[in-house]
Amino acid sequence: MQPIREKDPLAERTDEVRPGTIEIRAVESRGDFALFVRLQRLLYAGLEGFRPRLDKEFREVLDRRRGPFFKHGRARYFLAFRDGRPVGRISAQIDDLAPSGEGFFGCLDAADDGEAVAALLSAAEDWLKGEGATVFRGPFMLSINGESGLMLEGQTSAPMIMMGWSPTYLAAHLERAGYRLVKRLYSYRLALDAEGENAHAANLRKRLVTGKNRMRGLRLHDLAGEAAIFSDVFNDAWADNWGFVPITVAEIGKMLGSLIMVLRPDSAVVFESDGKPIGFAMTLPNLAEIVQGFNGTLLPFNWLKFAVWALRKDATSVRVILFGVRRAMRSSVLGAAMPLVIIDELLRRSRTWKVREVEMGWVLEDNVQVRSLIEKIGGEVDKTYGVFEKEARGGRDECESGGKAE
Amino acid sequence: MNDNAGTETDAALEERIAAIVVREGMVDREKLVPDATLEDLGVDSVEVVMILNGIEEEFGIYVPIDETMSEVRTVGDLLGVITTLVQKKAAGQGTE
Repeated sequence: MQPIREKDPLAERTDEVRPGTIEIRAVESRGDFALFVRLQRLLYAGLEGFRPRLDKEFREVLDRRRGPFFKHGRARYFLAFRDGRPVGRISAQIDDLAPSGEGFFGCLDAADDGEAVAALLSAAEDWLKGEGATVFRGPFMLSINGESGLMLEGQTSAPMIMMGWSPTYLAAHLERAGYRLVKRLYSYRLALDAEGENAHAANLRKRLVTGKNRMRGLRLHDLAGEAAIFSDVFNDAWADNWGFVPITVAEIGKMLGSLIMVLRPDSAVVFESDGKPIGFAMTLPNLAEIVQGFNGTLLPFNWLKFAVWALRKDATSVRVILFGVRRAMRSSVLGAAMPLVIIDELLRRSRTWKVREVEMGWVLEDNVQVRSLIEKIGGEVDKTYGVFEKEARGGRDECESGGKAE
Repeated sequence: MNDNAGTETDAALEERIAAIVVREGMVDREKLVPDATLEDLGVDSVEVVMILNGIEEEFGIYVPIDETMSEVRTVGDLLGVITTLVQKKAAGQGTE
């Protein structure tokens, strides 16, 4: 049986950008939404390092009826066409959990066409201004707790679950449109050797995990309860971080629920003192390992390959996606010691499956303490992302379009 | 191990402990004031181990992260707890 072939709206694409008219269209119809969802893989097919994700992954986040973001935010999607051919997409979103006046953009994917990127950004800005935003920041899909930043480096690194991919030219187009890079985010990769216990971690663990302190795994039978704990500790831990927006119980619950097939008790470690959770870390198995060859769809038989992969727990890489230690602990010896013990326990548990590589990210460039710890246990920067920002004319500071990034 | 802790003054003992924190925690000496917290000093998990190991080696004691040590937040607290442990050892009450 022949694989299903879908109509490729970019069939006539050439690498050369041709002159013609740019049209920006707000996504209103189901057809446009479907195009918005799959446009990334259509635009970037064949680019070195790009691996298509499942359309389903994007739909779960972007669909207003299903995405947990829409319980506290609203978004508008735009498509760019040159001479009738789709050449880019962007989302504009307001998050009611973020400080007033901040507007966000995301899902920025485009051909190497500066005019199209500028037009997409302009459409997003217009909508955001109408919603009261005076500063535009992104990309985020759809919140900073989802996929964050524009990939600056690491395009040819192995893909990782819920980590975005962007071609190298997009950052320059953003800068030409008046955006400046305001923060770098790093994602680290760590090779797990078969036996390797970290001596420092073992030392600390002996001192720390005694008496009223204990560590436990993920309670698969109570994911709702776990989502509530993770949300509570995470939001407490990072509340004073740059760009912080709280993650909701629904957002974590949705993530856990949609991945229940591939989660194990060893997917998380919760550190409890006197029965109260004071720190945790969680990994997700790297779905990108299996879906990168699916061309965006589980049909016709990719679902079977996926099911086998999931049931056999065949992931050889995982991502530490959530981590936190309660703020009240941070300045104490217990709080300073806990991160290594938690992360080491998570790695130790991962080592018992087939996992040989761990990605930890993202981490803010100025979070020196966490970066230093990851580097000390052998992590190396694998991917770098950038968050860009522009202030609206007449906003906090006058900002002329066309400014140069720092 | 340099075991003259039984005869030296509290100030001298604290100075020896402070020197270990500076060396093993890679902390600037001028930042090591009594009110500074471990967070202020940017001490991470690995540095905690290095500091505790350094203290244990210097004074021949074991430093548990028990309830008292868990709650230590400032340099002043740390010096106080370690000084007590060292003095207990010197008095023969043992912490090994």
